[in-house]
Amino acid sequence: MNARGRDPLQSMDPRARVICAAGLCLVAALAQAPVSVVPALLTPLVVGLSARFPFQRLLWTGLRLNGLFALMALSTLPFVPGPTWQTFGPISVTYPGLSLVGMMVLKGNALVLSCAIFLSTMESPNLGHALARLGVPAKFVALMMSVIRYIDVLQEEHGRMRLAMRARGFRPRLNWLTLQTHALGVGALFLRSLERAERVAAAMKCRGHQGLYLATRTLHWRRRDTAWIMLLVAVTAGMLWLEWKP
Amino acid sequence: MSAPVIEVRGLTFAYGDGPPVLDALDWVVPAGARVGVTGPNASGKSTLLHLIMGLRAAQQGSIILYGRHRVTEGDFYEVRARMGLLFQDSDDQLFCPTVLDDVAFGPLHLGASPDAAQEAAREALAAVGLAGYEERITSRLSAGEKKCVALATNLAMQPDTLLLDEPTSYLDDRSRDRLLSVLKELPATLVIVSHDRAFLDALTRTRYHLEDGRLR
Ligand SMILES: Nc1ncnc2c1ncn2[C@@H]1O[C@H](COP(=O)(O)OP(=O)(O)OP(=O)(O)O)[C@@H](O)[C@H]1O
Ligand SMILES: [Mg+2]
Repeated sequence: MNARGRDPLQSMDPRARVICAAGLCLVAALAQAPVSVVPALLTPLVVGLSARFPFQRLLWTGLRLNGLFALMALSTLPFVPGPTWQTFGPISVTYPGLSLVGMMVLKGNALVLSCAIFLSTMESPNLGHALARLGVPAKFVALMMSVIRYIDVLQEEHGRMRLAMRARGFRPRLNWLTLQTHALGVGALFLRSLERAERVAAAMKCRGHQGLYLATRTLHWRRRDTAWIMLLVAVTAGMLWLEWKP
Repeated sequence: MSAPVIEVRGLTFAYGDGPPVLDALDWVVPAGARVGVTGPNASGKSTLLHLIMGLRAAQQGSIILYGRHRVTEGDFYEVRARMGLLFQDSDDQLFCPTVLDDVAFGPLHLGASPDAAQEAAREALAAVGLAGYEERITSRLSAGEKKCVALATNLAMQPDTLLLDEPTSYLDDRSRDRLLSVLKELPATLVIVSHDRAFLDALTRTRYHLEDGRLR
């Protein structure tokens, strides 16, 4: 919600959140040494913990992400040349291979965590406002907001269809009829969502919309937000120092 | 004497290759009038309102609003700044996550500052009896509440003409009475499409009946 309470995340200006997420992602992506990715991993973690972020919501995403990494690790590890760390039968794992995989895991998790903590906790209109105010071209913001809006439309329409189907005795089972119903459902879903999107567009026109996205809410940059950015700069500086220190 | 708000000449419309919904329809609504429109289901009442707002294009005929022929999207943009439409299905009308965003959308896009738009939204919400609903999630409201929010989205734009498509559906007695008094006080030309005779009797003197593609 929009109430800006004591929760450090909710009380943060959306622009500050976008800057923090973008900054952390950038440094995490550019870091060369594993130790300098650690701050990018720790910052969102600490912020998330202090804001009582429901981490269990991330569990599934995290598992899938790291599962993917495991697959990638298995397929790259044997082929990275360099001094050997251990040999497993015909496969030898090298030190450079280990550090490559380690970096991949660290960076990937840092990126996902930063976005999850700073961006996913924000309502989509706020994200739009923040981007618009940060100078992202209005057309791009409008496009992005339409996409987000359309996902909502799809989801709402899906919910309604499922209710309607269940009300008429549909129960998913492992049989041909269920499969047929699902196939029909997906087709109908897209058709209905398209039609609904057209009606939503009509409603927007009725209210003076001409294709550009305007921010409904005024954003208030506070001293606290500047403090957040300073913290980010400090983290970045720390990472640079870790990276370059002799 | 000012030009009629709505003047429609020989309006003919069909969806795709379907049968004509409106068939050479003529209609004049003078400024300041309050008119009721009745007609059986599927007679084309909603379609007529959508055509007047420029949301669909007629195959034939002319639409003259506020004394000027309206053809292009730009013509209608000008009209929509002064003429509001309450959709029959509120789910079609509301599209923002929160109630406040939705109601403020219109004023904002007509050029109000964010603060002024929010103020207009709060006032409109209070007028329909929904003060305190600002941060509610629009899609989770009850059907009657949605109808009232949809009306507020129109009121916030301070239209001088309001087209209402079944305004009383889903409303309980209290909301219906509130709607009645809001519309009575509203200094606007009103076109009310409704199956609710008593409601039409209370608000309008002129009555039209749409059937077989024509208004009578
Ligand atoms: N999007 C559409 N595509 C094709 N046909 C449509 C569409 N919308 C409406 N129609 C058809 O146009 C005709 C008029 O519909 P409309 O919604 O204008 O009727 P209505 O008078 O408002 O009815 P009701 O009293 O039920 O609201 C109906 O036969 C309907 O099936
Ligand atoms: Mg209708």
